[in-house]
Amino acid sequence: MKRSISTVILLAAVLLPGAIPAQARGVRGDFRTAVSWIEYRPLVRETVPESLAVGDGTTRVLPDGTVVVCVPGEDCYYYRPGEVTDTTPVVHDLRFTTWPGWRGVSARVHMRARTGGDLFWPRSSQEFLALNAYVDFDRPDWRVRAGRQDRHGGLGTYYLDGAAVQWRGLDGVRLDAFAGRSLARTVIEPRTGSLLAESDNLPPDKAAVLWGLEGRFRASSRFTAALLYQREIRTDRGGLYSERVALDAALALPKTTLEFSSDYDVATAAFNDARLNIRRTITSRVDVTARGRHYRPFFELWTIWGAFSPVGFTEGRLSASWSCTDDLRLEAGGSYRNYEDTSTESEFIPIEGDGWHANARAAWVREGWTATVGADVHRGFGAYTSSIDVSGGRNLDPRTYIGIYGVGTQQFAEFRFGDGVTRGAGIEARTGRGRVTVDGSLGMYRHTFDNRPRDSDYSQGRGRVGLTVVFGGEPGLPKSVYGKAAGS
Amino acid sequence: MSLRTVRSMMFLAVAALGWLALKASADRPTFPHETHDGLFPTCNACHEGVPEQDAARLYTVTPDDCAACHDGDTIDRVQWSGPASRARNLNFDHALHVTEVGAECADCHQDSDSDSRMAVIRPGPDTCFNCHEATSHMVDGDCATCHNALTEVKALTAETIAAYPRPEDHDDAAFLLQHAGMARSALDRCAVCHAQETCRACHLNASSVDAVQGLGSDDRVLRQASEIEPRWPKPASHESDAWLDRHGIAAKESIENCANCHVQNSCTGCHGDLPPPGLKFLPVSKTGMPSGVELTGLRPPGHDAGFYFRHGVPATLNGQTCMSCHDPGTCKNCHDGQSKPGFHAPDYIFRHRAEAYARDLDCANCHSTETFCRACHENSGVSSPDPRSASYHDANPLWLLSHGNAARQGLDNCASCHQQNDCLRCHSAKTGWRINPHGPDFDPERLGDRSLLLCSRCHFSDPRPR
Repeated sequence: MKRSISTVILLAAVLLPGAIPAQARGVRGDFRTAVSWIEYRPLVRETVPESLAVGDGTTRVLPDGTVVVCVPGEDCYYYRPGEVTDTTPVVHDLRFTTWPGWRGVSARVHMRARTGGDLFWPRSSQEFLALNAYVDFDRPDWRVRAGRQDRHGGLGTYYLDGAAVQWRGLDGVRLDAFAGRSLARTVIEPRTGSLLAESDNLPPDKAAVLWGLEGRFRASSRFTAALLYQREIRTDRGGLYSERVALDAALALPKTTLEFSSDYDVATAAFNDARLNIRRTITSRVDVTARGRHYRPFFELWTIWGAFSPVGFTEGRLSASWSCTDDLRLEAGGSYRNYEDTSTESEFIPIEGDGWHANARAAWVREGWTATVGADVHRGFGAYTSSIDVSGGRNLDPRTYIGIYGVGTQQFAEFRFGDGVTRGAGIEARTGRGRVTVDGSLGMYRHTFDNRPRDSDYSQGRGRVGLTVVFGGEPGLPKSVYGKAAGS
Repeated sequence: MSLRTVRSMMFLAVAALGWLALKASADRPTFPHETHDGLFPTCNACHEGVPEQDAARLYTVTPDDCAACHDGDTIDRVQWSGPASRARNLNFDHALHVTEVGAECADCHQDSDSDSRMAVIRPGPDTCFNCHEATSHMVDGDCATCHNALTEVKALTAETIAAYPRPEDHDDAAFLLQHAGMARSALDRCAVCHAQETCRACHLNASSVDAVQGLGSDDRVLRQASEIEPRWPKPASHESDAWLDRHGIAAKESIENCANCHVQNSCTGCHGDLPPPGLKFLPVSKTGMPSGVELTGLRPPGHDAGFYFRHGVPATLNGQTCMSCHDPGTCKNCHDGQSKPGFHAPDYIFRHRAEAYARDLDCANCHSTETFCRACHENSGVSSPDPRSASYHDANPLWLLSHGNAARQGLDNCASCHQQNDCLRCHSAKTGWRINPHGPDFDPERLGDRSLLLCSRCHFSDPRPR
């Protein structure tokens, strides 16, 4: 079945361009295929005799420091990484837009087929997926869209099988209304589909209808704002899966830009992500950005998490960039976040209530050569991480690039013994001719662990090869116009 | 003084006299009219055909007429045969000026510095402007009055045309931007010196511009055109801050104006993914034709290196504008956890945990917590299917009793490993330890009004206070 679906995709990609009459009524699209390779170590459950464990209770320690769980009268157990194995997922994507020749009518299709192991993404149990399949009927002042479509807005990306109407009859104003069967975010299948059922023991038991209204207002080239309201309702009308509002606005002043974005969860009366960015151009080469932010995670109402009163944090960030020369650009920034009071009664373990992050980066480009160096440090609640990465490469021509990269990351795992270091290096390349682009990367990473005697060091390989073919063109335009699209 | 010296001085004197004679002849006809002052009472004696504009009788003097005096005995014989015919683009009617205007020969042909009628000169444009008002010959003169269109004067050579003087206003910085109006209102002025080929040196759309087509085609101007360096000055409208936003409307209203300077490649520098419909009305750049304004690599202001990470709000507010350059699939090139592994830094698999807590990016935009994060965590040795195991949170044996703080602060990260039932074993009112998971700000009525089924996960009955 998997092979047949993949075969259909491949055949469609090969035959479709030829099936369209040469009058260029219009088909424009691309076909992408990518093969990834990743090594990993699955969990293995190990048991040891209870006599070897030191301590009392259900949680004990082996002499080497490994923590084990013991059931009185039975062996103790723990999980350790198993033997290194690998998986090779393959993904095919076919995307195209077609114009049948009727004014204002177009259709958009994006199909995906996958093979490979179920252990990592993409799950091959979802071997065929239609990400987009909709028809547009476009007029100067309005547009109607019907089918499987995606919406990108202040609340992120949502997919639905339904219809959307857009009105833009007034200069500077755009109104959207949409409704349809809701698809699980990023999974792009009905909420009662198999993937969610496999991933959670309390999956949604009913499908949902998503509907919403969005308005965009543009007062001038300097001020724009957008307001979105949407709801996801169970098809049995027994409740909501989500009810959210997003407000975004931007104001451009001379040398200063203010951007505000916010999501609001009506169900919990909480702002999930509210940000205010102020970006100031100091000189033609230096700009500074200050950001204030409040974040609290959003959970859909088919999960219990929202009822567990998660708290958010307030964060301040300051960053600057400096184009020292036409070739060299430096960036640096830092942020500090402080969590709200959790109001928990048990605090046997002191948990940090704040965190900070600092980063710096340098990028150099000259005559086709590129080099970057970056460093990141995270401290505080969550995970302590220090990392550095370097890369260098050369654009041999506008569409050919070859480069190398190296990374080093040290981190202390949160709420866990020990720390680890990963060092890796790899090569990456991309080239294209005409409508074909090939890209690939191959890297090796060495994982080492401290204070975790049963987690042995190991080397991990990762690779990817991708092929993209662009076909077709816009009605009335020469195909040469699209020559560069494949490389972008 | 030696004979050699005398000869040299005579040579120099003759050369000087000859130079002076040549110079004089540049201003005056070769016939020495002044020398014959007093001999000819009227001009018509030798120029009988002038009043009737009879070209055959413009010069009615014959060698026999000259020989009447220049007989070789009384006066030296002369060899004069009249001025050589030369090709010129001058449309002058003597008959009109003599019979209808009443002009006298001396009005135009007498040297103004002399009182003698026989101080004859070939009049220049300034003479014409005594009556045909103009301040500058090649700027505001009515060209068609005196000149024909270039394409109609076949006798002119390419060299002659290439040597045409350049009008003063052509050097004006604003001329390139203003000459369209001039061409439309006074094409005959352009036509005196130019043909279509001249315009094609800059005009990418020459074949569709009425004024250009009105000039006619003439290969003799190719040399003139080859000396033109194509320029496409920036109109004032393009200097406006709002031009980037407004140029689409301007193009829609009159794409033919854009086509003066822009070929299709001008637009694809930005509109690479999704060329606008009007693009097809722009000329296509071909070998041998001017390239037009070069905009390759031009990006809208603000699309700098950092835009990659802060395009969210602009895209939300102006998605329609994004779609004028970007294919709908462009968003999914990155916002698709399966097809763009290059979006994150190398080794992100190992170092994403810190950024997952900081949540600078909305992971949920591309990745499903349940199907993506959990699947990887379980299979990569990070979490286990048994919630009671210490495979991960082994830093402290009291973790199970005091994880609440960490859970409230990072619940979205907990959900990346734990399924719901893992928590309901303890935090359910139905079974287990019945530990209340709700915080002090929990509003059961608000949440229950929207999803009572959610409450039923943990509660047997409606927990909302009534």
